[in-house]
Amino acid sequence: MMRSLYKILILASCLLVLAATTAMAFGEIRYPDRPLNLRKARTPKSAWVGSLYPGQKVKIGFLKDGWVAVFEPGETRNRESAAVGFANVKYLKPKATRVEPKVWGELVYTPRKLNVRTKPSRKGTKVDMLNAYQHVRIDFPEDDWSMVFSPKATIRSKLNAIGYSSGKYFKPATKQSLARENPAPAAVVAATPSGQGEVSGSVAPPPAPVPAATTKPATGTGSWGKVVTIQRKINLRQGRTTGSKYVRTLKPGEKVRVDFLKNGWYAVFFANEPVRNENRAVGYALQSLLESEAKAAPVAVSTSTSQPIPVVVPVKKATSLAPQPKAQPKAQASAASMGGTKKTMVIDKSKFEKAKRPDPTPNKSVHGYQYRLLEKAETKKFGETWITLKVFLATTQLPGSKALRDFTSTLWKENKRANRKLAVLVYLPGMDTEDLAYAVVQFDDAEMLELWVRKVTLFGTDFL
Amino acid sequence: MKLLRICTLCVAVSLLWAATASAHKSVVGFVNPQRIISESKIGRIAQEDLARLGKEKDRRVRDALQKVDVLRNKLEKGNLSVSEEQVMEKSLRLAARDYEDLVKTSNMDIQGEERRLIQFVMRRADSILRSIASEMGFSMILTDPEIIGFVDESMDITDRVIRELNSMI
Repeated sequence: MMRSLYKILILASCLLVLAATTAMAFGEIRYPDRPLNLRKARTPKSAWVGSLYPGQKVKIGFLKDGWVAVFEPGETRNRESAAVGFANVKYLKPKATRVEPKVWGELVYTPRKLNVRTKPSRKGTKVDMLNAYQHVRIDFPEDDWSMVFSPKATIRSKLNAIGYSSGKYFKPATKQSLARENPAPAAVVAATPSGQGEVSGSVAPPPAPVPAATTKPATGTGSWGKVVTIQRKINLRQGRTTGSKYVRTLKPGEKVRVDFLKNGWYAVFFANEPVRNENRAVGYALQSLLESEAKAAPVAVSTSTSQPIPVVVPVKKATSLAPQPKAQPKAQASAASMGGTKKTMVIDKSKFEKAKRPDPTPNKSVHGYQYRLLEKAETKKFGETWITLKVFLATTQLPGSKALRDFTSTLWKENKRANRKLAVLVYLPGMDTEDLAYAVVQFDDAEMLELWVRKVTLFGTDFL
Repeated sequence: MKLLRICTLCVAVSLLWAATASAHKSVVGFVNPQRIISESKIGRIAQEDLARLGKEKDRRVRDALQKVDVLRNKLEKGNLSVSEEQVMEKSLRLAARDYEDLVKTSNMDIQGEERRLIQFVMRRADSILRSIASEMGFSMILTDPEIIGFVDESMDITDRVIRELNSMI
């Protein structure tokens, strides 16, 4: 009797779950066959709220007068108010015929708690609060304010935004900031009181501890990493995976320096490597293999804090394209060999970092890029009048030539004048906006003339 | 009077000794900018940038030349009316002038860009030079190989600057 009752209960539960799932799975998935504008209501005359790129996956529903409500593909709220806009159904096809993904907005984080409001001003009602290091996507800048979106939002629409926040408190997302937002599981366990479940409330979580090994190169000094004597053969790889290309095999008795522990892999250097820079690594080896080496031979391991590391004497190239001075000294010119004692010198690069100015805050958006027009000037060059636009482009990814062409062409269309040539100088985050620009794009009053980039200007930025 | 002479002599000797002693402390270093440009990673990137600009200018010059050639070919065919021929000749003259101007300005642009890129690299090296100078006690660092008759190898910090620049990338 009881067994039958259990069976009936389980069956009823299954049916309920099935019914709920069916109810939640409203609408259908469609793909626009062209760039498609989203409107606030079911008419082409209503306000523009956003756009879809060709082939973008969306959910549609509530068909009426040939217009549908458009939703995020994962939307479960079966109501029209959850729509991110309205579009004509004839442009939304069951299968993607043309796919041209377009990145929009910028992933950012706020280093402090930040209110999200209904209006781009302090008068707007508070609708949400972002925690420190919470990542969001921002777009549609208005003065100093930007619309805030969930980082998972896929559709660029004003109706998809959470609200407005002041743009000056946002910083572009970095690997470090993302790591802080999603700390390692061990750190989470440590922060949670034992057996009491999760802590709730609006208090921002304490910042996760910075990982011991970062990929950022430190100053050139001999006291870094640890020196390991190899006991058995270990293969070095080009990357931090066993599938990456083989570099060489470390032989027993060989001494190497290891550092930059990440994902269970060490970067391996020559033992006498004076500069702590991951780019100078010979290859990568598994932490487990290297640490078993260290345990097996504890005498061989040293953190080398007090022991001076001999300076590597650079081998001069036999041939050089550059003209040599008459009194060119011999190859083994080592500054450290002065006075007969070999000594590793430390250059304090933090002094140079102070000279950097903070990046300008973007206040406009074009082609999914946020930017700020820093300066517009007219100058004479070779007898011709040039309009020069200095633009700061807030991006975390290096723009390709097509993206640069599209972006600068839009600026040119807005600023061009008859019989004037126009040059757009593009600066990226981390660059000195008083120095050389990254990209230079020149136009006359009819077309683009030339485009070139200076990769050297990325020196000192996160792009190089 | 004799005492005054002795005192003056002593002061003069002291001054001479002090000057000699201070002269010994002044150490002059040397760095070769040409080697920094051609051997450092940043210098090589700058060279690639310049080559890229050169290619872009070449493309424009080729396009301008092609425009001139097309107009010349049309004129040479001789199947144009008098008025058409006059218009075409005028267009050809303008196109030829544009081409010449473009060649001239392109060369000047490339020279200017080369100068700017060298200055950019040397500004990055400058901060390193200052650090090395203060560590090694250099009062002066010479940068022009043409004016140097002889440099002791210990005074040449070019390799060190290149190494430090490379480590920053």
